[in-house]
Formats: sequence, structure tokens, C-alpha cells
Amino acid sequence: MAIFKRSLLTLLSLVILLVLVFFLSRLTGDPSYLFLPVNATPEARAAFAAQNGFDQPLMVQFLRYVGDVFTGEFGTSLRQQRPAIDVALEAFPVTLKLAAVTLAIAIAAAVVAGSLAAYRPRGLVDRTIGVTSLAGASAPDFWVAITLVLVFSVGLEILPTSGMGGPLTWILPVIVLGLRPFGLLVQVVRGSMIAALSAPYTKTARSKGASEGRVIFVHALRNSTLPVITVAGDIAASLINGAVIVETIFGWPGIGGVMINAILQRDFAVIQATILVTAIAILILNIGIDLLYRFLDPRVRFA
Amino acid sequence: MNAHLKDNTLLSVDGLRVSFTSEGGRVTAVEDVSFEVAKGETLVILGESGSGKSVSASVIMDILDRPAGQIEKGRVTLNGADLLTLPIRQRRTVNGAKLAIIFQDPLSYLNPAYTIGWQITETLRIHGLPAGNRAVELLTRVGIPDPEQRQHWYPHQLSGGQRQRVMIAMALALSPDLLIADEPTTALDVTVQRQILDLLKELQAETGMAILMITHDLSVAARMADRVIVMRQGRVIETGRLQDVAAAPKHPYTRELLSAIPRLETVRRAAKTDTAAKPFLEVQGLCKDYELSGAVFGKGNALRALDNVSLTLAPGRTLGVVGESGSGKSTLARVLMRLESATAGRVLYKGADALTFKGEPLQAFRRDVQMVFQDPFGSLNPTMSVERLICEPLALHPALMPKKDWRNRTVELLELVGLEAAHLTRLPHQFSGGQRQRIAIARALATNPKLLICDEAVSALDVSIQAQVIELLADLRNRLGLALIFITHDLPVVRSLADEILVMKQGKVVEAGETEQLFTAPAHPYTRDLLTASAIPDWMSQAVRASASL
Amino acid sequence: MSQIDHPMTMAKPARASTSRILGSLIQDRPALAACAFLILLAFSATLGAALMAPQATGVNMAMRNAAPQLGEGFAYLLGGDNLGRSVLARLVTGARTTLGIATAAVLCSLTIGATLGLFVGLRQGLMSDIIMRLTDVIMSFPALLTALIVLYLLGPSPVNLVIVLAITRIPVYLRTVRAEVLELRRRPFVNAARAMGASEGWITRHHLLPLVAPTLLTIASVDFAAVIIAESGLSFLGLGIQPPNFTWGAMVAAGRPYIAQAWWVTFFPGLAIMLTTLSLTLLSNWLRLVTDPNQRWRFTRSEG
Repeated sequence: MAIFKRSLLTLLSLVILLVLVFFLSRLTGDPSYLFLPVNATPEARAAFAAQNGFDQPLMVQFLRYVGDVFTGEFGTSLRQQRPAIDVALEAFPVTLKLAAVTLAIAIAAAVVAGSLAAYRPRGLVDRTIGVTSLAGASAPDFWVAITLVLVFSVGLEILPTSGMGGPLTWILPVIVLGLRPFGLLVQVVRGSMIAALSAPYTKTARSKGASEGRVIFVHALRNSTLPVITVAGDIAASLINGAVIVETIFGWPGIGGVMINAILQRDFAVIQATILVTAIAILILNIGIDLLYRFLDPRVRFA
Repeated sequence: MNAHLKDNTLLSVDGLRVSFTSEGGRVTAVEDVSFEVAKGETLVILGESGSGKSVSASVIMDILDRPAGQIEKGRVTLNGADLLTLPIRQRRTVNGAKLAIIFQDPLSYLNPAYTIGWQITETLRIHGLPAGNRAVELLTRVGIPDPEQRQHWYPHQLSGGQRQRVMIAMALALSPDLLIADEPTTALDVTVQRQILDLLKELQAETGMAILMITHDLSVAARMADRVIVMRQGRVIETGRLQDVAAAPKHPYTRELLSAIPRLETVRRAAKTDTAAKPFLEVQGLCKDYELSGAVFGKGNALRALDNVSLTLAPGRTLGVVGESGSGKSTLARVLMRLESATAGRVLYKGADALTFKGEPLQAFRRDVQMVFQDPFGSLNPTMSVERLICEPLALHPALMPKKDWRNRTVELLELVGLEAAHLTRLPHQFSGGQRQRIAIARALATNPKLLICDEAVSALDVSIQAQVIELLADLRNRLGLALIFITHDLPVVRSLADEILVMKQGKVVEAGETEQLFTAPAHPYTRDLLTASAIPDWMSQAVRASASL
Repeated sequence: MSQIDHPMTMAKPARASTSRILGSLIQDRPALAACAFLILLAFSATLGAALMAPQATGVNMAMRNAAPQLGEGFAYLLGGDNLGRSVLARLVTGARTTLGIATAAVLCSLTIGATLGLFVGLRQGLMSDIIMRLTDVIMSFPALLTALIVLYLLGPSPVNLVIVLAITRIPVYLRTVRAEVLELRRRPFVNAARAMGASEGWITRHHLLPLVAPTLLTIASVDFAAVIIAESGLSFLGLGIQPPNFTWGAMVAAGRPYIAQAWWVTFFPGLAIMLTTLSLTLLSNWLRLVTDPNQRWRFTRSEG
């Protein structure tokens, strides 16, 4: 029920977004300015408008647009002279890999750091981890990226400045992209771990004779994963935000880099295609998170 | 110690002192507490909130909140072995096997992520024993129907009483020598309370375990105790056989605690009631349905919270409405207060149907009918000072008096409920529960109402405070000629106050009548159940009365 | 509830709440430092920006990419950029634009979000459903992407930037206020007020808003940080604020081509962003602690 509702909502948001893109692109002026190079001749523009039906009534254009979206037909990329949807689909796996690796590392690091901090709340370890993770989450990612490149690539010359390839090329992008998710997750892990460790049911476990290890890993951890998963789901979607910046700076051929380039080059067909691909990816992600949540929380499962 | 340890002593606590770190520094929660539990006996620790009774239990079970709580002094021995000096690994092997505990709020004390069967057999697994079919056996023993099926359920799927049964099954998995029961029935309905206490007694008879029962409730103590210790502000102030303590309390506080019983019964005698007065409130065939939504119930199903409820009330009279959770008693209050609409029926107030009031008649009705809520912590806006709280009804009904008189009226009201003008600028969190309820009563009286509806108005308070608030209500009723509708789950409380009583169950009125008649000759079996479940045994009230009259 | 609240104890005398709050601020060193930094920042953005405007825009080819140095009245304390303008002066003037845009966006999203949240919390119905679904829509898509696309289509201008930033942040306020209102409406004191004859407007003014306000303040301060980060990201990508206006994010972008020769041109604006957002987060953590009664009682739990 919840999965169905959530998928429907995401689908709805996708539709609204596409409608918004359509109307904004049509209402803000001549769409040929969006699709054609800036220096195109008026004749070329007229021909383009006639060919793409921009001279038709808005409703007709809209229906046609919806049909195109459903068939994945977004037109041709101006720069690359091939279907825009192909450009987007080719770039997507790159971002997916980057996001997956980053999220896995960020979660693992946050669980370790957050649990350490929760073990002695307000202790030295807790304070250190708290301030460090906050600073990490507060730093603008593009600036961290530039500074790291300056230090490790320009200064120390031990890491490549940009490009995607061997393991070394992954280090800086993963660090930059993972910093904010790590900072947020540490706080969540710490908070939920403290709550779970002081929850009444841990007293029950102790009074049954459970060891401290059992109290922490069997009783507390299971319950403290729930908020972490919720937040990790939100973060996974917002990793796309970070990917735009990281891929631009490190020159990765991912969906974020492609989209920024398309925006800067006014390659409107590619922009539309990347929006759709991203939105569908987020849709699938949301469903996955819901499934996982239901698996772990019986109160949701049997609600 | 071992030298003078009596043969049958199971647990002994000696000179215990525990302190807690709080905002204002270290606070001693338990000071010089000593007691012993003999094999197979039931010792009741009786005390109100803040008396340190639960802290002592935490120390025995080694589940004290650390590092905030620290044991500063004292010994705890079980069968002669010192528990406090044991290394943690060995200490834990005692828990579950020799010692077990059940708590007040089983929903939060059961792990929400695991099935109840898993949690019951966990005790066995921890102690290296095979689980086998023990979960089903134990669930059967504590009276959970269909245990084969239910062992796979999660805590949130069970009712409050069933959850407590599961806790008991869990505690008994290894037949411990001592079961600590920390307010195990406080959150339950009286009839369920009775069942749980009976179950504990049965199990005790079967296994010969000792029970350390912690409670604030005299009727629970009376039902369970072999011996009793009374605690107050972290100290033991009285120890002895329950009969002896009831007959001859040594400490003034114990006397006050016990005197709650006779005092409650004398309040009513002071009340002047005019049986000849014509009723001003007539409720006729009141019904209230709640739509149930969701896939489980399907569409169109409704829960009938009020089913054809009728009552009448004359000026100056007091009506007690008694029922357990789900009886519809609070819904009745909410519908009468026009906080919720009714599905059917009429509420005739001075001859006109109050359910149809709008505009000025509704405002006049709201002036005349005021309410005191159950939760004195929640019913006062925490950001408003006492003066603003009590002035709010005056501000809402500006026709009552000019603004310049508000201050005098507020002081007058505060003095009426036993508070003082110096309290005007304080915020609710600076008062105790009983004082807050006095503030709530002062606020309800601000508009000079004709009818005061009290919805579980004393349930959240300690016993001794309950008696004070009830006396206040009775006194105000007599002085101001108020009519009262007093809604409660607690029959003894209402006996002292009400002229007539209405017993409700599942939305229906099962019995109505004059208070004494209902108590002495209850007609409906459910009323009888309620009465026996909540009664203080006669021997105890007699003993208490005898000692009070000395 | 509060266990030290023994029935026999008398009410404690009222303590002045402002002095209590100040006391807890002085005890919380990180929050105190954050507060001091933010006050300094507020002065820079107002007084400092007015004083330093000439140095911030004055081209001085002699000081092209000048390294941080003393002298010249500390103007080049943080170095000079590729046109020889003082980085320090540009940081101070940039603070005005950066904080101005963020303030405008936060105020917009706070006002709209809180109003809608109140409405949705108080009235169940079709209109509320539509509003909630729309916030779900906004929430379900990455904010930076939404902002990029809208700015691309509408054109980058300060007003559009504020609108876009505000829209992407409205759901945060809306959902929080709605959740709080729904929770507060179930609280007995709201029912008590209703039973006394209070109207919905009265309840909102006297019982809901005063209790929601501290939460709003807490979110607003975190949100301020989020908006600054989002704006600087957009400006860095070239779709935010356009020359000759500039924010710290735009300064980082402008210095990027010269990073090998003049690291200070990108480093200090980024550091300024980080310190600001860090301060705001620390401040909001502290606010949450002082405004939440549950947190205050956490260390006094001792069930009798």
C-alpha cells in the first residue's frame, strides 16, 4: 500500500516536472532558441518550428510532447548529433556507480563513527567526531573539490586532477561527494544509537542476562537502523545534486556533468532526457527503500 | 553478614545509597535502604512517585541508568552471594536464571523488532539452553490464546494485558527464585489488573518463587503482600506485616497514605444534595460513531463509541461515570462539551438542545459548562503564566467582567483552590501535578459555571494528592452549588463524591443508580466485577479506620 | 514525567528565562563562538560592505593575483584577485549579496511554508491534500536540479534565484509546521481552550504559534546554511548571481582558472561559506537544545 502510494507520488512528480518543463520552455519565448544554436538564421528557425510543430496550438504541441516522452523520443542532441536519450542513458551508469560506491563508503564510515560517538555521549570522541562531521557537512562541495585538487594533484602530485579511470581517479570524487552524506549520517546514527541504547527494551535484555555485546548488536542496532535507512534514502536522491558539481569539476562523463554541459551549451533535448532518466532512477530508489524498511520494521509491515 | 543471615532469606539489600546526576548537581535518590526478601514470600514496596522504589529494583537487577545513576554505598546479596562486586559477565548469568523483572509499560520494554516467541526463548538461548517448544508452553501457561500462532506476533499486535502476560512468560522462562514486579498493573484496566495479579499469585504458588512487588496502589498491596515496606523520598520509613502496618502505622506519612481510604469515604457525607431540584441537564439517547478506515476493516464500518446513552442531572448534584478504557466515558465528556459532534440523540440544557447551539447560545453554554482534564501536565499551555491561564476564559467571554477586574478575580480563584497570589507569574512546569490540577480547576471556575465535567481529573495524581483534590472538588461543589459529572475508571474514588453513578461498558450504560445502592447491591455482573477488582479488602479498611479513630 | 517533582515540594520561584538561556549559551563554547562569528558577519554585510565597496570593485593591475600581505591598510591581507581587487574587501561586500539572497529566500520560504503548514494542519480537505501532494513533488526531486532547470528556463536574476531557492525549501517548513500543529491540536490544552469557547483563530494565535515558533527558528537557522550552500553551488556553476554582482560562490568560480597561481582567491570565499554554514548549524543545535523541554530533562531521569 505504502509502496504503491509512494511510487504513484514519484510518478506524479515526474509528470508535473515534465509538464512544467514543457510550459516553461514554450511560455518563455520561441522554443527554437532553446533547441537551435544561438546564431541560427530566421529561416532555419521557421523551418525548425514547422518541422517540430511549434506553429501548432499549444494543446496539440502538449499532446505530441507527452507522446514523445512516453516513447523516449526527446529529439536530437545538437552537439553530438545523436538521439538525446542515448546520451542520457550512456551517462547514467557512470553516476550510478559513483553514487553507489560513495553511499556504501559513507554509510560504513558513518556507522562506525556514529556508534563510537554514541558509546560515550558528550565525551571527547563524541565531540571530535561531532565537530569534524559538522564541518564536513557544512563545507561547500565545489570548494572542497578545488582545494583537494590544489593540494593532492597540483601540490603533492599524487592524485590525478580529473578524468575517470583507475582507482586513483575515484579517490577525490568519492571523498567530495561523500562528505555531506557522511556528516548527516553520523548525526543520525549517533542519535538513533543513543536512543536505542537507552530504550527500555535494552533493560529487559539485560535483565534476561544478555551480555553488553548482545544488547548492542542484537537489540539496539536492529532498531537504530530504521532512521538511518530513511535518511540514507533521502541522501541517495540528493547525491544527484552533488554529482552535478563533482562530475563537472572532475570531468566525469556522468549524468550530472552531461546535464550541466547541456545547460551551458543550450542542448535542450539532452536536458529533457536527463531529467526523465534521473527521475525514473529516483522512483526506483524510493521503492527499494520502502521495501527495505518494511522488511526491517514489523510495525510498518503489520500496520 | 552471612553469620546472621536467616536460613530462608533469599535477597537482602543493606544500607543502599544511590545518587543521580541532574541539572542541579547530584541528587540522592535512595538513602540507607535495607530490606530482605524471604524465599517464596511477597514483599511489597509501597511508595509514591519519587520515593526511590524503582531505583532499588534497578540496582538489584543491575539495570541502573549509568553513568547518571551511581551506587555509592551498600550491599545486595542473593543467597548470601554479593551481587554488586561480581564481575559483569558472572553478574549477568544471575539475571534471567535467578532474578527476573517485569515492568509497568510492556510495550516499550518489549523489543519492537522481534516476535514475542523469539523474545521469550531468548532467555533460554542466552543461558545456553535449547528453546524447543518452550515459547508455546509458556504462552499457554500465562493464558495467551492460540499460542502456536501468536508466538510469531510482534508486541504491537497484542493488547496491553496480553503484553504483560508475555513479559511474565519471558520472566518465568527459567523459573527464577525472585520475580521483581515494578508497577506491573498500573497502566491496565482494573479488571485486567485483577487477572494479572491473580496469575502472578497462581504462578507463585506453583513455582514457590518470591515476589518483590513495587506499587503505589494500596489495593494492589492489599491483594498481594505478605510484608510491606513503605518508602518516601528515598528512605524506608515503615516495615512490617501489612496487617500490622495498616492497624498501627508508625510514621505520619504512612498514616496519611492510609488515611486516604477513610477520608475518601467521609467526603460524601458532608455533601448537601437537594434531591427535589429539577434536572437542568437531560441527555437522551446519545450515540456517537467513529468511521473506521483502512484496508483491514473495509469501508463503511463504524465503531459505536456511545450507544444510546441517557442521563439526567439536577443543580448541585454529582454524577459519577465509571468505565474502563474503551467504555466511551471520555467520548461522552467530549460530546457533552461540544468538542465532538453526536451521531444521534439530544442534550437538553435548560430545555433546549445544546447540540444545536450556535453563536451566542453556544458561548453562553460554554460559560456555564466547564471541564477539568485528566492530564494536569498537558492541559495547561506550558508557555503561559498562571495569570494568563486563568484569565483566558475571562478574555474569551468579555461580557463577564471588565478587564480591570481580572486581576482580582484571578487572585480570588487562586485562593479558592488553595494557591496564592504569589503564584500568578509562574509557569506550569514550576508546579507539582496536584498544584497544576488546582490551577486547572481555578481556570474552569473563572466563568462561574453551573456544571463542571471532570474527566479522570485525579487519575494522574498520587493517592494522597488524589484525596486532597477530591476534597477540594467536594468543598467547591458545596460552596458554589456546582453540578459535577465526575468521570473515572476508579470506583472507590467516585464513591466518596457522587450522588448517583453510571457504569459504562463498550459505549453502553450497563447500570445506573444511587451511589450507596450501587455499591452495596450491584445489579449487573460487570459492576460486580469492577467492584471486586478495585476494592480495598474490608479487613484493611476496618483496620485503618480503627487506627485512625484512636 | 518529572520525577523530582514531588507532590510535597512547593513551586520553585520563577527564574528569568533570558538569563537562563544566556547562561547556557556561555556554557556551550561552540555555539558561543558561532554566535560571535555570525554577529561579526552581520556587521560586515551591513557596515563593512558600505565602507569597502570601492576596494571591492577598484581594479589595480599592480596587485594582480597579489599574495596575502600586510600593508596598504590591510587591504591585501587575504591577497588580490586576477584584476588586483582586494579579496578581503570582496569577501566583505560579497557577504552582503550572499547573506541578502539567503535572508530573502529564508524569509520567503519561512512565511509561505509556515502559513501553508498552519492551513494544512488546521483544515483537512481537498485543498490541503493538493498542497501536500505538491510538496511531495518538490521534495521528491533533487533541489539543485530543479533550481538549475528553472533558472535555465527563466534566466538567472537575483529575484529568480530567491524564488527558486525559496520554492525548493518551502516543504521543509510546511511539513514541520503541519506535523507540529497536528500534534499540538491533540494536546489537552488546545481542547481545554476549545471547551472554554476559543475560536480557531484564538487557538492559533495563543496556543499554536507560540509553541511552533521555537521550532521554526531552529529550522530557519539550518535552512539558512542550506540556502547559502545551494546558492553558492548555483553561482559556482554560472547559473546563480551574474556579474557585476557577486557572491562568495561566484568568487570561488571566478578564481578557479588562476588556482595554481593564486589559491587564496578561491580558498577564502569557500572558507567563509563553510564557517558561516558551520556556525548556523551549531547555533541551531544549541537552539534545539534550549527550546526542547524533553532534551532539558533528559539527564534528570530517575523513576522513583
